[in-house]
Amino acid sequence: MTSVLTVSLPPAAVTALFSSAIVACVIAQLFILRAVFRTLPILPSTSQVPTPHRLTEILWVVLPVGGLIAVFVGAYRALPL
Amino acid sequence: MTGVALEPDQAPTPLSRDLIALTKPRIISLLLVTTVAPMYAAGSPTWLSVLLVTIGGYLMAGGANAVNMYLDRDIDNIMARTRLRPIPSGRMSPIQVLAFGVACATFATWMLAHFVNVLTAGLALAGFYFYVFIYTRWLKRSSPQNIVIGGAAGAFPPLVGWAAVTGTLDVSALCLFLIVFYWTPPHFWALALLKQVDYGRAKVPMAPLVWGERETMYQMVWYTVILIVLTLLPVLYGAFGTLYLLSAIVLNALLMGGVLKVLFAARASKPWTGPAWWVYKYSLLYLALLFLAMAVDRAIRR
Repeated sequence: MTSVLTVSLPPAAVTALFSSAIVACVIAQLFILRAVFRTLPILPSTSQVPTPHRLTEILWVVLPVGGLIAVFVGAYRALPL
Repeated sequence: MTGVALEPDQAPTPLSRDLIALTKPRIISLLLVTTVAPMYAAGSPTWLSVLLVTIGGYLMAGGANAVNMYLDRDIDNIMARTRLRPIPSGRMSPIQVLAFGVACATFATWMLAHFVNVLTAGLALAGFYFYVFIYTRWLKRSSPQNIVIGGAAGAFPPLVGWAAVTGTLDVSALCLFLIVFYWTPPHFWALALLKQVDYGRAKVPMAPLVWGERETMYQMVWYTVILIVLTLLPVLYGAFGTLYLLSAIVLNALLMGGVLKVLFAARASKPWTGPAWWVYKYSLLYLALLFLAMAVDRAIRR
């Protein structure tokens, strides 16, 4: 019963899936960062909404990457390889 | 336990209804799912510890919500969505609301530290401060990243639940934190797309107002991609099993389908408000079911 409920993959598949997960996150994170560079000027100068500061925005986008790196490092150490 | 139904003269008074409303009980119900489910994923908690963490978590989150209403009292009157809250409607004074919020948080901190452990109390209090100062006071009115970084406040409950059982934090706890963190943007931006006029009137720089609707929708897709990766990652290192994996695959497919439907509808110049409402509502169910799947998976494999 336990074996049915547990996911057991060969080490090569685990490595391939783990690498794909990193690649997916890197691509997504780059597109997230792109928004900061690409879209700030969209806000019209007449807008009442405050214009965000670009450098601060970049910092806010980059900050969560630290969490992602930490979780990937921790996950890698725990991988059944 | 007979006769639990309230008699007419015991029905909640307007004040008690307002006090409950200040805590935003509907939002807290989801926070409690993301607190209690990790407790069962982390170990085998006693019913008493679950009860204590539930009460402490409710009071801490409720206190944060009350202080949030105190700090946002100037814009709550402008937005249709928040106009009927106790302060803008004049049913409670701002200082009463602030005192209630601080009292709830103080009692919750004492309760969790005394009856559970100091780490749990510290994490819950960190979530309170993050929500009040980083989100409400700083980012909400200054950056379109408000609900991204501010979303970390809503991601503390899994850490609280995990720490309550294990007394420590590990990679799985951090992964649960990041799952809620990356879930917040697609969930909240679906609402922001629908309520952008309201937010504009209150001068809150939500993503659709700063980046435009289309870019916000693309961002929802990218955050969902990372969310999906994070939900599947624990399966790779054996933290969760088949039941969780299957649940996550179905839940993720529906979420990504909904987010893409919003984007494709907008790109085809078709109405996207229906799909956006669906994403907003479904994402609530998504998070609750995902966390329940974690708890059930660990319980049946134990």
